[in-house]
Amino acid sequence: MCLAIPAIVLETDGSTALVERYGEQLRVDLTLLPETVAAGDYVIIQSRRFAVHKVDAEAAAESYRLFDEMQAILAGGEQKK
Amino acid sequence: MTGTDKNLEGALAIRIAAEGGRITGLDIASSRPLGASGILENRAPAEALSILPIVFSLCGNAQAVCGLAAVENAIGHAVSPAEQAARRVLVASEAVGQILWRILLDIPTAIDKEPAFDAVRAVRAGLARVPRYLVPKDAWNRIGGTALTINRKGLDALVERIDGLIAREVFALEPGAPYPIADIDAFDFWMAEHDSVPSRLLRAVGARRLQAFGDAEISLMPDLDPAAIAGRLAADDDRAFTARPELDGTVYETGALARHRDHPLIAALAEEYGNGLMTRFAARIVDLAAWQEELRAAVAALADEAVPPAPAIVDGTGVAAVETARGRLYHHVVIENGRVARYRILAPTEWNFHPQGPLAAGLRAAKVRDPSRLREAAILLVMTIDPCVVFDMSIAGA
Repeated sequence: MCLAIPAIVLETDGSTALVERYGEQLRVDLTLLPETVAAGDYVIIQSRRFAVHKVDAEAAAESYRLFDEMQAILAGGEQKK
Repeated sequence: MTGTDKNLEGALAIRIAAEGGRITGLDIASSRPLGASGILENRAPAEALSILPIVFSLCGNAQAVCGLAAVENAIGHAVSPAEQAARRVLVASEAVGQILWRILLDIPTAIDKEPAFDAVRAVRAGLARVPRYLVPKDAWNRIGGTALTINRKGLDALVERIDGLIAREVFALEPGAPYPIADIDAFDFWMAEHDSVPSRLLRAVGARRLQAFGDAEISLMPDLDPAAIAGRLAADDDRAFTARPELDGTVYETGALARHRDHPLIAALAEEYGNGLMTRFAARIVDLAAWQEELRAAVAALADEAVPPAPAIVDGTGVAAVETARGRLYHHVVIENGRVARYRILAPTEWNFHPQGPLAAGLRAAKVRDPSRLREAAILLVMTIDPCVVFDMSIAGA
């Protein structure tokens, strides 16, 4: 039940990238990523170590909307619809 | 968990106290967000199911297929054999990718062996095309099924490429050669004479005398009556069962070892090493071969199909089980007034990493001759049982 939270690429040297999601920064390996990425792109991370695929900004925004809602539910807040 | 929690995904924290190569204290705590399935509630079933593959990454296909089956069970709808085959292809292909990731990448990295990055990348690239080989233009996860336009050429080529890659990278054999998993002699010979990431890893396990590490009294999950699980999930208001599942006090192990306990190689290794590392790792390899077979069989059962009429959403309760790379996954849904009133997900990690589950039993029984090897051995045991979230391990003492 690993969650697919998108992370935004802050900087990259081509083989690794510094990414951020919900305020947490991670240095991830790009070896398994089929596409190239640049700062401002969104990626999905697996095992907190590898970027595994790129998502477009629209899909990332939709994911963040759902994860925001999930966090509110987990925090015991009302589900906003 | 708060609205600004930095680790929404959660993790397993495994705290070990050790003395003289033996584990004297153990605590396994999970911060996995079991209430995450609440995101699926108060929505129309179709909308809820469209969310599953967006929020769940590792086993998104299995989650989506299990969700579809649970909703279809609730509304009393059976999908066509072609649709069933398409879903089997999605689950099996995903499982192959997950097992290869673990055995070619994570596990070797854990004991300072070279991982097979190129192979994992090639497999992932191929598997990413599977949904489009089944449903070229639409979303595949529709209640009641969707229009299937099978790209058989693409699928056959993909299956052949994966078969070739597994032969070379996992077994160091020519494509088409029989896998050395028929019996213990063939397996031992392969391990000694063939040079691949897994064979090197298993030789290292042997050289370090860790073959039986983690052997303990465990209960392998049998074929359970889904109604028994459904009853527990239906009553699981506080999510205590989804967090720490047991049936009549028994915490079962689910996954490769449970599925293949009667396989001749696994039974023979269990005679020699119990359910320690060697038997467990071999079970993952046998499981990989079984998923390949399942993928081939499911591809053979595929057929083109026009889009079926969408079934009526009626109120009801449904449960579904899907076998995944890490074990059996259950979804339970209650539909009221045409909306999802309640949704529960029981993932294999909750059985396998239960504080009284197989990892805990294996660690409590474990002993290493060289205390400096304890950490590495414990990490291998965790990875071979295979949680679906990251884990953090700390060892006090040695």
